[in-house]
Amino acid sequence: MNAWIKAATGAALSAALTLPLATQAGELTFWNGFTGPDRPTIEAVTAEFSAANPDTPVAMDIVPWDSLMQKLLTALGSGSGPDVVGINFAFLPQFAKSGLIMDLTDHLTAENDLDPANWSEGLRSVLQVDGRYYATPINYATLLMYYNKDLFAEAGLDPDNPPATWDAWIEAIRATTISEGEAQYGLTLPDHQTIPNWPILLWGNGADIVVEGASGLSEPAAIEALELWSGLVVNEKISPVGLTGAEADKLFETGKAAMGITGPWMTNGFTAAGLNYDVTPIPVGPAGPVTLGDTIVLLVNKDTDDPEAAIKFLAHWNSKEAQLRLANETGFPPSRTDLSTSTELTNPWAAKFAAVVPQSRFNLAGQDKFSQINDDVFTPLIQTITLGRASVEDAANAASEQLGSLLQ
Amino acid sequence: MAASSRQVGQRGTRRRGVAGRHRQTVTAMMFLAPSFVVLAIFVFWPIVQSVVLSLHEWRFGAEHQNFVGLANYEKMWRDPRAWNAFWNTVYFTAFVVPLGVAIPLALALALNAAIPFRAFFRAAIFLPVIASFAIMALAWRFLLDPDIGILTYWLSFFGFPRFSPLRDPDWAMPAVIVVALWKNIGFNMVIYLAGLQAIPEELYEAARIDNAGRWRQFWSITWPQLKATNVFVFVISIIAAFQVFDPVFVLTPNGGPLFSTETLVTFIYRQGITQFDLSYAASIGFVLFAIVLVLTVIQLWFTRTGRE
Amino acid sequence: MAAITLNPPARRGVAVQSRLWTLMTLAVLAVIALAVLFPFVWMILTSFKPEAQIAQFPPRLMPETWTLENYQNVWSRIPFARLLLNSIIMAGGVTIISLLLDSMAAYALSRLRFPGRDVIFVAILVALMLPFQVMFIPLFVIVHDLGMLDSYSGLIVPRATNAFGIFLLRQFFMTLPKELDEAARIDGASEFAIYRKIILPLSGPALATLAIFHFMYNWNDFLWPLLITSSPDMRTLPAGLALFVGQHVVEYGVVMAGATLTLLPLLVAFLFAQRYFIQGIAMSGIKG
Repeated sequence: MNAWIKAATGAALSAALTLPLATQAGELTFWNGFTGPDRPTIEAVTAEFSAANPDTPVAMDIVPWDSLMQKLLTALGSGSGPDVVGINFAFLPQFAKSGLIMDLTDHLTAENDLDPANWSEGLRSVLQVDGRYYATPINYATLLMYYNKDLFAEAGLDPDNPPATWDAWIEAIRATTISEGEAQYGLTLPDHQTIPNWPILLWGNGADIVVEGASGLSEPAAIEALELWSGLVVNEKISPVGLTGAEADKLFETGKAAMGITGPWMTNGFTAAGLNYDVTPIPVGPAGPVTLGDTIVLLVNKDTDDPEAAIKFLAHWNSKEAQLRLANETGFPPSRTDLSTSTELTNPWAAKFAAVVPQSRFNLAGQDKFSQINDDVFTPLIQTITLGRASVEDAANAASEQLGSLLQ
Repeated sequence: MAASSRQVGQRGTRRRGVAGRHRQTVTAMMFLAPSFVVLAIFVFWPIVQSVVLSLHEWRFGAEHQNFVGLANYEKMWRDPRAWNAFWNTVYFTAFVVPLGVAIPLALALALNAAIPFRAFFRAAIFLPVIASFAIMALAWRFLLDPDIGILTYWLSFFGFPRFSPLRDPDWAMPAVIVVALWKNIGFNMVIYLAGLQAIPEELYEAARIDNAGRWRQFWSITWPQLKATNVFVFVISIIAAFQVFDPVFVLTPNGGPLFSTETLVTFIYRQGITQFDLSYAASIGFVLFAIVLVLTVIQLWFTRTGRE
Repeated sequence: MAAITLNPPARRGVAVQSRLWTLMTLAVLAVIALAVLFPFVWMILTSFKPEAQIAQFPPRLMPETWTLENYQNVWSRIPFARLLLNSIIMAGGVTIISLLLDSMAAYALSRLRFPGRDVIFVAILVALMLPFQVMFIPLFVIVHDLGMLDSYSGLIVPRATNAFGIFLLRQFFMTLPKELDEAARIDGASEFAIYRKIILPLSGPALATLAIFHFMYNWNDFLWPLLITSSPDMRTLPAGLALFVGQHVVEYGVVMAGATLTLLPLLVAFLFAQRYFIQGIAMSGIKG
């Protein structure tokens, strides 16, 4: 036993002493949070760059998104951060204001294959802070409404003619909701740990969380939208309350929900589950067609040893080949609008998600307190009204006041 | 025999006197030194740094942080979310500590006796302790799903209504407590098992000769003999309960419905990591630190006065 | 025992009562074990299901079709062997070194008399009181400044001792009779010899318990290894499994297969350590 302990201690110590050196000279370090099914594609596109640029191979580290933020907080503070990082666009204002990342404005040229003209207007606006570009996109997601064709047929609805307006939508939701006995939900409306759903309902009615730098939550259009949709949830049980995005997707996957609003990442799972479904643009509300856009963007560390290689890496992600490969393998729309109708876009899902890019909006774009606004104000507001804990007007006014003080 | 050797021991100590005590002090320092160096570098120094941080206004990426004195502590005093997190933590602790001590003790007593399948039961109850909570929480959330979870589905055959504790502001915390107990009862059970092993069998033999019942044996022998173990179990359980993070975070992310499960450490995480207010997070951490320190010293003081 | 044989009727009563007690205890334990094990049963059965059968309604416990695909995925899509090796080095290294340092400190705090002992004891407990979520940034900076990022030493050295372990062992050492070392001291034994030859051999149950805790804690720890390593070659198993948990899509089957494989070594370690618990019984008989 003692000999064994000694041997093992010795082994552990000698292992500790012969530690491998993490970064080699010339290596480009790249951190991101692409865990899950998209990882192989991300790895392949990165490997392509390494193969084409043997002098600056990429050392990639993939960790879950929330751990990535923790890693960045620690690493950037001690100067051991990566050269390039991929994060959600929502964090960009904070990073830009921190002065830790590179201003890319002067590098975004057609010669560098980083031409802003190829991005949609909405995307261009979230890549900038105070008029300067600090990021370029990796991917782009839009949301569509998924609907279960079998449940539509069972409810006497035409599976090939999904609702296109709010009125038709609500009718379809009511027809597919069964609240007695074995429950079935017309729609899923997740409120936390999810790609945002509720803001789309506000937008559809011409409202928003933040309007021109002030709270928009107590505006009549916002209250009207919240009353309509929370009323359907509370009184007609069209959706469970307190869902996460993953739970909502599972309800749709098991045929317990007829409709759901989500992104391109669910097509593979739903298809594998043998579900008879299709996607359609989110039915148009009084204020016109709108959906949510989301993007993972690349930032360059200000202290990078090789800014040139980093820019080249950004351009690699923005290249036609990389964007088409991403779109065709993952079903996400390309982040370049000039590829939306490309004949090389062979993934039919990607084409459908690409079709709504022009009407996509970014939630809380440019707000450096987006996390407080979303998690501390908006989510509790939705939970309060869908649980029926307060009247919509009271809850919205209280939330609006809280939001007002955050925005000051 | 025990009594006579104790006398020998006392005489021995007295004989060696001051020189012996000095030698023991030097030896003790040598025994403590390795641990102390590691703790100093990797625990105490970060703690000091965190105190400093809590007195500043930390800004992401800034070269110099502004000194703000106790402003972060003041902010906390006026922050209803901080108070909510405090009371939720007290709620959690008030249930998890007593139940998390009583149940494991009962299990340890049952599994210390000669009982069939003893090894199986020990391993079964200990299994959740060694499993990764992050992954088991995925399983629990699946099982407890009110619509497609197998537990709720089976219960519906017995007439139970659809039940979604994790989504209900009133039931989320009880559900977290139950799962936290599920995860941790094996931990204290094993500590108690080790403690029970150390009780000399002769004490029980003597009691059996006196025809003492189970209950009397427990209160007159087992409980007093478990004193050192109890001190450990209570102190550690309270420290752990006040610092609860994993069960809350993995079962009810974002603080649960209407922040009903937000505890001090999940609040710290939210302030520090999600919202980049690291100095506010540090100041909440220190208030938590102070509470736990006071509770621990009180416990040690009480058990100490009772000792000799 | 002698008293009981002198009194046969009472003995029969006791026997019946005690058999009833055993049966009741067994029934309660069986219910608890079933409830405790159920999520694991689900986990293991799910690991043999094709992904499309995991979320379904009505829910089913048993797979409709059994598949090893998830296990193949764990093997082929992450460098499982390398992660396993790293986990063993980290958890094993911490366990061995920490057991040594913890027990030495605990020995001083429980068996030696010196001024300031209680103050030092409380100071060590203080190490348990600040949550990791507050300390991790300064801790990271130190590991960085010592040049230990992305290395085994960075994984192991900061955990080379543990206040929890010192506390656990101190409490256990205090229950051992004082006469043991006093007698040895009179015989001229050195403190190190008392620690090694008397105290440690008597502490099998406590050391085995602590070994399991250290090993398990480091085996399952996710965040710390993730923070201080950045090359995939240095990652441990939980970080590898996290790669199957996407932001929007969780590959439950693969995660459960990986979790099952990750749990097995711990289960084996626990069953191994259990031998020492039982050994403890034999010893407590000798020592009175």
